[in-house]
Amino acid sequence: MVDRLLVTKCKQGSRDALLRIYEKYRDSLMILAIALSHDVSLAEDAVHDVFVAFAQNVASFKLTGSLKAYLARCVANRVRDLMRTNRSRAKALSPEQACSVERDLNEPSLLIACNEELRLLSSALAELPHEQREVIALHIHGQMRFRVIAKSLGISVNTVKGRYRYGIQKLRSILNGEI
Amino acid sequence: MKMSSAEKIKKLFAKSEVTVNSKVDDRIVGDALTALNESEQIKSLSAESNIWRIVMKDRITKFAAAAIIIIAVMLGINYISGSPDGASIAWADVLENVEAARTVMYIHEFESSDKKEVFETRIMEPYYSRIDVIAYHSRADVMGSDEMYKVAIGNTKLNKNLLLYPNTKMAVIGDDDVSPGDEIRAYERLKKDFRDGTEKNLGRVKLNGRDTVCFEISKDNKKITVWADPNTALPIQIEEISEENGDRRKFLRRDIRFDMKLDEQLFSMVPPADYCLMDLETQRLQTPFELTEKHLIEGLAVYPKYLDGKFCTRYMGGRPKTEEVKRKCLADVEKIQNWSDEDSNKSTFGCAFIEQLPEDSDYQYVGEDVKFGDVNTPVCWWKPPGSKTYRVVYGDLSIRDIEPGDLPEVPWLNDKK
Repeated sequence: MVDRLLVTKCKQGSRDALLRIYEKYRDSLMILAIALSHDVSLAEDAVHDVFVAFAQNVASFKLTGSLKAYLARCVANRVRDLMRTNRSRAKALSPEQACSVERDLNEPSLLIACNEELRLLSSALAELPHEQREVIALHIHGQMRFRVIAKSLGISVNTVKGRYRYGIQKLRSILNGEI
Repeated sequence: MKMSSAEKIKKLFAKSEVTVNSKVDDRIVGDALTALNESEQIKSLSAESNIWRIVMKDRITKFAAAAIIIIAVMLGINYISGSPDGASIAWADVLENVEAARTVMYIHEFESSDKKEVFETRIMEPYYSRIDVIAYHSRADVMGSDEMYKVAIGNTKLNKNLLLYPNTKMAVIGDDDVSPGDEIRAYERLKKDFRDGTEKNLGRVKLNGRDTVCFEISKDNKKITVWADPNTALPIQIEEISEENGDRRKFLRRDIRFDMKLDEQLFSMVPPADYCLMDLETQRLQTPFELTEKHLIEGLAVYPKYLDGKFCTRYMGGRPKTEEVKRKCLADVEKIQNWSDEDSNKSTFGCAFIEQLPEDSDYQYVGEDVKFGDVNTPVCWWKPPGSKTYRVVYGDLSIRDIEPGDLPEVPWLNDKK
């Protein structure tokens, strides 16, 4: 079923339509959240929060472009907020306590398992500043145009392109060969 | 054809998979369905209150309309056109003249809580735009002002956007999305807002000692003020103030000039002859000079500056990626986080030199942990086209020709073979 129809049904209160949207985009959004955060637990929370907020506000939601891009943008925003919150929380904790706040991909999780490619990708992106990582992930995985990313981040399209270029350039020499 | 980093990342994303336990699904779906139910309940409650509001609105609007007319008469506001104190131009004249103009040039100032930028903007409708950065400061931006492009040219006909970085003589070209020309779009949006129909003529106002006629448009969370020349009925300054999530944003377009002659060369998508050109999508690099081993040496030389005097773990190749190698690579990336634009470009040129080598060049990187200045330990080697010997780069960045049989023994290289 096309997204527009699913959204319309969802607006009419269809639980089945909401479930189908979740099933359709869950993996893609989870991959995006993990790539951005390098933290499965935070990624799960981000996807959770976005779907709950979507369900809460669907009555007034207007689908103007791609639903996938819209949800990807929401996930990216939520990841950024959660990471900021975690960082401030970690600052207030002792170093030992702070280590336990982030659960990264190398720790086995019973709830979400990542394959080798996702682990590699996420580790590589984790070393870039969040701003550059976000633009690379949204452009390549979220298939969002630079202009759309710029609008959603409230920055100029040329700044977005600059971030993309710098991020790619950093990854180029050192990570070459494997990715 | 070798893959660009972006293509590799794309491939990794495509191959990425997650396995999500049903407990996660239960939690997300359960909470989302609860939220949907609550939203449904609120919707039906608000539908009831809407009926009440419609009844009330009918009575209120009649009084409100009357009150607005009285206030307008008292304040002397002329909603149709013209001005309260005899200013000679009407909003319709301004609109007509702005629409008719084919070129426009102005100084664009933007200010928010964390960013300030000043650009000179030129637009030649319908395809071309160019901005020259005069000043840029951002607290939130990871790029320093030195690394900011200085010129951005948009061409909606070619669907391309060209950024120029004069400090490093680098040009970056990329697709400008489906409906391109960011500046043209912003200008088109502004013209659309002009047609909002809520404009107020505020009459004659002095702007920097100059006579103007001032108009004001209020739209959503935005207030637009236009100062127009009373003789030409064209704007000379436009201010847009908006507030988003408590952040006040101010756009000021000043020193506006219309229908001036602009040289089409200003919008050329061909970078200056001495610039390198990088394609943003493919990362292919075109250089105005031949890439030689000198560029590779300069590229390699960047890393010891940031990595405690040692060469990087991998450079377009190297030891196979075990978990340990991956960790080391990522530690390297962290250390070069704040490398200069110049160093970033040097590294890129070095990479581009390797990328252009023929497939059978047998390039190998063995520089992991080699100390800069080490005259005896090789960092990398390759076989130039048609040559029987290898070019070997050592830790002191000297290059020697070595017979294949004299190449150093590298255990992991043998394993690889």
